[in-house]
Amino acid sequence: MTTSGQNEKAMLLQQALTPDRICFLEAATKDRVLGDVIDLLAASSSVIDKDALRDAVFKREAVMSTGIGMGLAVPHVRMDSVGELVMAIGISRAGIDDYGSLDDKPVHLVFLIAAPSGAHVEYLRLLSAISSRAKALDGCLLDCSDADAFYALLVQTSGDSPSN
Amino acid sequence: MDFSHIPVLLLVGCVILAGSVGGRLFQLLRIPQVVGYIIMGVIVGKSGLHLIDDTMLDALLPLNLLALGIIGFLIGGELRGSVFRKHGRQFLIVLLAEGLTAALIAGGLTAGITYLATGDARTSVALGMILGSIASATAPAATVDVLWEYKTRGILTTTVLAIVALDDGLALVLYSIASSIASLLLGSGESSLAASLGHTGIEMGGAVLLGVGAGLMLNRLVRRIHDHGKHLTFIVGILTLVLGLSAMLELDVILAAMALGATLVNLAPHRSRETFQIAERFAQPIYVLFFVFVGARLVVHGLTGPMWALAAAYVLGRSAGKFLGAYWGARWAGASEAIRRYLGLCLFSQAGVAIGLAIMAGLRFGEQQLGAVNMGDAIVMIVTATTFLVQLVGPPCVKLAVTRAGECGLNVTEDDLLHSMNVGDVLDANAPAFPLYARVSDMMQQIADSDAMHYAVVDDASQQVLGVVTIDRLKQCLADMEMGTWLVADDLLEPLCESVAPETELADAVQRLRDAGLEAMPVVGHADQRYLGMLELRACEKLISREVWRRRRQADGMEAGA
Repeated sequence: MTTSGQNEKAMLLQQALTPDRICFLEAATKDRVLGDVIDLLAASSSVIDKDALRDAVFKREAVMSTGIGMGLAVPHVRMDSVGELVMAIGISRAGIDDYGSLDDKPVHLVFLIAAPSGAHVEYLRLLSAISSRAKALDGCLLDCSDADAFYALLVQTSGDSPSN
Repeated sequence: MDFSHIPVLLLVGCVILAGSVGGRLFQLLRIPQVVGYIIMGVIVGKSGLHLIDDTMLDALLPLNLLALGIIGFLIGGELRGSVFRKHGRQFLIVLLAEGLTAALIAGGLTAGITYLATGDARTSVALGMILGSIASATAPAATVDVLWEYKTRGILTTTVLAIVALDDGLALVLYSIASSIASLLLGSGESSLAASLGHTGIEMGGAVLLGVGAGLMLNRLVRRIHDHGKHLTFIVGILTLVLGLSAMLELDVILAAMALGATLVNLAPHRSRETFQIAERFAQPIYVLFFVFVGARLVVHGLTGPMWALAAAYVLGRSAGKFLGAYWGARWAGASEAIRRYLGLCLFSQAGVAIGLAIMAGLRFGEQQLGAVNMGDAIVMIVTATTFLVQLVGPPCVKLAVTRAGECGLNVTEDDLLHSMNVGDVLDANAPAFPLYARVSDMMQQIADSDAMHYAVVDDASQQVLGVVTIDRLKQCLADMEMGTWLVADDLLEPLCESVAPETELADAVQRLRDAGLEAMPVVGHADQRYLGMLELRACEKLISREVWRRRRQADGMEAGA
């Protein structure tokens, strides 16, 4: 990945996420975790219909689990009742065992993304950005003590990446 | 009921509608539509219900002239110099053979019957010469209408167009010679042979000069004005001008229009293509009107016993002459099998020029007696009555000929094909369809073997289409190949907006795609909405273009082999 590509991903993350949409989860089951992160995202003014968001997220999970392995889950939906690309993150230090991840390991980070139906390109780029960024940071994100630290680590550009 | 006060526009509207209905009915019976137009004319005309009389027909004469002019213009558009350079000798031999043989046989038979009836050798020969010369004419309009209706293309079509285009000229020359000799024989020689030929020369030469001059002017106008909408105005303007001047100066109207068309097509072969297409579209209702009036004019009553014998001899002699002459001429010229066997069948139609010459002969020989009958009236009645028959028999014969020669449907445009095909004919039934949970990585593997660029996403149980995934969306996942292992079809699909049934006419489906700005539409069963395949605009256009190209190649192959 080029530096400009990494910067672009960081920009996308910054646009979609704010620190107040990052929370540490108490719940330990998939359904409750998803419910908590949906509530968090629905607080955003971009989400017009919370029930529609909930329905869409669970409908997508019914098609196939969004646990992509390495402790990550990326539930994502496109819908008309979302004004712009937005994201919320749930952090579970204990891990969610019943998420049905690709590698059958517990999920620790849940990145919930909601995008307007027409924002397809940005939506795919954000999915790609989360996947590559979270995997690049490996376990570092789980070590963050609070939401602000998590946010700062996730959205920082390549020049100040911890790996450099 | 008196119909003479019907407003002209109302009459024109009724005639066009009634003619179109008649044409469509005959099309459904697989008989050329032109026969339907003429029959409608016969029903409402002088041999039928008398709803249209001579006053109305005379009032609408300018429209007839316009129809003939457009037909001449479009035939001229087929007379490419390259075709004449290649087949000119062949055309000339066939023209002379079919025209002269028809004249000799029809003239000989009618002269023989007249001699048997009257015992007057001079009158018999004179009448035979006049009828023989008229028999050489072939009506281009009905013949060409059949060629256009069945979208024909090939060496037979090219030859028919050339022959019917040149036939009128031959008939005029033969009539000039025959009428002068007949005048000498009957002792009413009001003009010499040289004067008569000179008059014909002026009539034809003047028409050619006028047409060529107008063609040069139209070419300049069409070249300078790029708005195709305005081309129709100029075409109709120049053509009407040529027709009006021809009529005023007593020049050959059809020949002038042909010269106009031929000039244009040879000066700008490619650019003029659209000009002729515009004229053809504009001409359709005028054709209907023209042929309905041809039918309305036809009369068969008035023929007495011996006159029936003359009419039968004329029509049989003419048909045999056209058929045998075309065969001999084609054989002598080394023309292809299709021309030898089928050209004669395409030359039976007789109309405007023959009736026009008959009326001229009627006026010129009105003083002569043929037994108890006036010779002028006899000529007019024989030609009119036989026109009735050949106008009905001629078009089906043309259809038979071009069908047997394998030239039907080879001159199609992309638009014709779109209207003649259904979605089911072109849908890609092998375009992969995926369930909602199909992983993008698995989809990538499956589409590698497919030409399709749009893939339906279907409900597993009902097989109904839920949406479409495009190759563009899949490509966006290529940047991060790992995403393909956890993204599924559901993540990429565009919800279904449009679908189409396989029975839908392809033209309608393509128009819907274009209107909606879509590249593809899933094809679904009419009743159960199950997915059947994908209709892709790009693939459809490619297939149609290839089919048009294939048919043209096939037709051109026939010509090259001729």
